[in-house]
Amino acid sequence: MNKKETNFLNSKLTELVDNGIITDIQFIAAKEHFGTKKESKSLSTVFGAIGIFLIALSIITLFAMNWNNIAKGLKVIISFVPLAITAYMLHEYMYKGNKKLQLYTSIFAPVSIIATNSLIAQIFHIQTEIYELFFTSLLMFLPIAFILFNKLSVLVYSVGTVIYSLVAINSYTAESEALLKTFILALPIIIANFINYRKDKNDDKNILMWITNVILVTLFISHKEWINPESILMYLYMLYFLTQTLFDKTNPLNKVLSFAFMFYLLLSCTTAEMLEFTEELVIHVDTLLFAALAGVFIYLSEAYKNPKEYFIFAFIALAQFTGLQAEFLFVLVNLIAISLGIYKIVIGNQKNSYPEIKQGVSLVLLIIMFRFISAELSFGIKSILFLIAGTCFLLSGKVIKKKIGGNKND
Amino acid sequence: MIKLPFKKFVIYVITMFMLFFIPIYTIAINSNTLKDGTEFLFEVQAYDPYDMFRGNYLRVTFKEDTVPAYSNFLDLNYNDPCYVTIGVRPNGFAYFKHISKERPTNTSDYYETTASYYSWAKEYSVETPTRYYMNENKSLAAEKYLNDNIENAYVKVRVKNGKMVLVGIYVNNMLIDTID
Repeated sequence: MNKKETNFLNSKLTELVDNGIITDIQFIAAKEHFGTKKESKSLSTVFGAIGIFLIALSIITLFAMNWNNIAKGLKVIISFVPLAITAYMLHEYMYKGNKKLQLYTSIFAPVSIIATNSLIAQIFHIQTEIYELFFTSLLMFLPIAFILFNKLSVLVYSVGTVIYSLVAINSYTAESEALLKTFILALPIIIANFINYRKDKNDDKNILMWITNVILVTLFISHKEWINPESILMYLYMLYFLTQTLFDKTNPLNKVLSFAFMFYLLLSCTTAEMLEFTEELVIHVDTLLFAALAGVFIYLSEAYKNPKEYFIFAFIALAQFTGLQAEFLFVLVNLIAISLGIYKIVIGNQKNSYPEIKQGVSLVLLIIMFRFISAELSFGIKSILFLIAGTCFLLSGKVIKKKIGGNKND
Repeated sequence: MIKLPFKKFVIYVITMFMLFFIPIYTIAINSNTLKDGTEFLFEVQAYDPYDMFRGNYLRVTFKEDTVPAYSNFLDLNYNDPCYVTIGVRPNGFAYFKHISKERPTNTSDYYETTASYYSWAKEYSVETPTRYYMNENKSLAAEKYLNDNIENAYVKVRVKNGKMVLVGIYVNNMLIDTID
C-alpha cells in the first residue's frame, strides 16, 4: 500500500471505531492484515517526543538555576544554543526529509524560541511583559510552522495564539491592541486552513477542526469574566469532543447543535451584561444555559455511555454554578484531570485503543503545561520534576513499542 | 523554473533570518545603550514578584516617575507614546524634566515611554523600567535588604536615543547582586 492508501485506510478504520462498528481489537487486526504498523510507530514516537520535550525543559531550568554564576558574554552565547539546535533540526528535515525530525522540531522549536527570548530578556533586564514575549516568539515560530506544516506545529502555533490572547487581554494593555494582534496571529491559521484544504480534501480532519475551533476560542475568551485556568481547560477539553461531532456526516443534527453551541459561546460574550438582573442572576442564567446546551450535546454525541470522561467537566461546571472558588478546589480539579488522563492512558493501553491513549496523553500534557506556567516552584525542583516526567514518557514509549510490536528500524 | 534545492535554500535562509534577527537586534540595541548611553541614578522602592518564564526578579518603582505638565498640557491618554527628557538634581539623582509628544532634537538624554495617567497635581505619570532579574535564591533576601535600606537605594540606568537600560540596583553604594 502506498502512503495515500495507508492514510485513507487509517482514517476510515478510525471512523469505524469511533462509530462503534468495529472494536479496537478488530481495528488492530485489520491494520495488521494490510501491513500498517504506522499507528504503533506514531504512538511510541509521540511518547518519545513528549519525553524529549520534558527533558529539554529540565535542562533549561537547570541552566536557569545557575545563571547568575556565568559571565555575561557566555550567557549571550548560551542563549543562542537552543536556536542553533532548531536551525540544525530544520535543516536536517528540509534536506533529508526525516519525518521524525518533523515531529521533534514541532515541539523543540517553540520551546527553544521562548527560551532564547526569555534568556536575552533576563540578561539585559528587558522590560517586556509575558504577552509581548509570546507575540514575538509566535512570529519567530510562524515560518517554521509553515515549513513543517504538520498537525503538531499547527496545533502548537494555534494554542500559542490562544495563550497570547488569554494573557494579553487579561493584562493592563489596551484591549483593542491585544485583539488586533490576536487577529494578526490567527490570520496565518486561516491561510494554512485553505492551503491544507486545497492540497488534499480528504486529509485528516483533525487539523481543520482544531484550527477552526481555536480561532473561535480565541474570539470568545476576550470575555474577561471567563478567564481562569479551569474554564479554559474545560472549554479546550470540550472542544476536543465537540470537533468529533462537528464534521460528523452520519448525524447532521449533531452538526447543527454543535454550531448552535459554539454560537452561544460567542453570543454570551456580548450579551452577558444584557442579562444583568442582579449580579448573581447573571452568573446562574449563563451557567444554566451552558449546562443545558452541554447536556444536549452529551446526549446526542452519546458521550453518556462513558460518563467517567465527563466527570471533570461536570465537576468544574458545578463549581462555577455554586460559586466554589476555594484554593483546595483548584488543586483537586487539577489532580482529577491528571488522574483522568493517566487512567485513559492505562485503559487505552490495556484495550490497545490508540484514540483513548492519545486523549489521555493530550490531557496530561495540557495539565503539565498549565502547571509549568503558573507554578511558583524553584528552578531546581522544576528541573528534577521535568527530568523524571520526561524519562517516564521515554521509557513508556519504548514499552508500548515493544508491546504493540513496532518497526525495529525506528 | 527555479530548481528545488535552490528554492529550499532560499526558504531556509529567509526562515533563519526571521529566527535570528529579532534576538540579535535586541542584543545590539541594548548593548549599544549600555556601552555609550549617559548614566543616570534614580531613587527607588521595591517588591519581589515572579515571572513564569524568566524567573524571579525585583520589581523597582522609581520614586519620581512623574513629570510636570502644567505648562504644556498634552492631552495624552493611557498608553500613548511620549518622550521625557531627564535632568539631574544637585544631590546627583535624576528626575524627569519635561514631557513631549515629539522626539527631542537638542539632546540624546531622553526616554521614549508611554503615559500612564494625569493627576490633579497636573503631572503625567510615565512607565519606567521596573524589572531587575536576579538569582532566585537571593531575590527574597535582596528585596528585604532593599526595603530595610530604601533611603540609601538607587538604580543605575544608561540612556541613549530614547532607550533606557537598567544597569543595576545599588544599596549603600553596593550592587545588590553582590550582597549576601
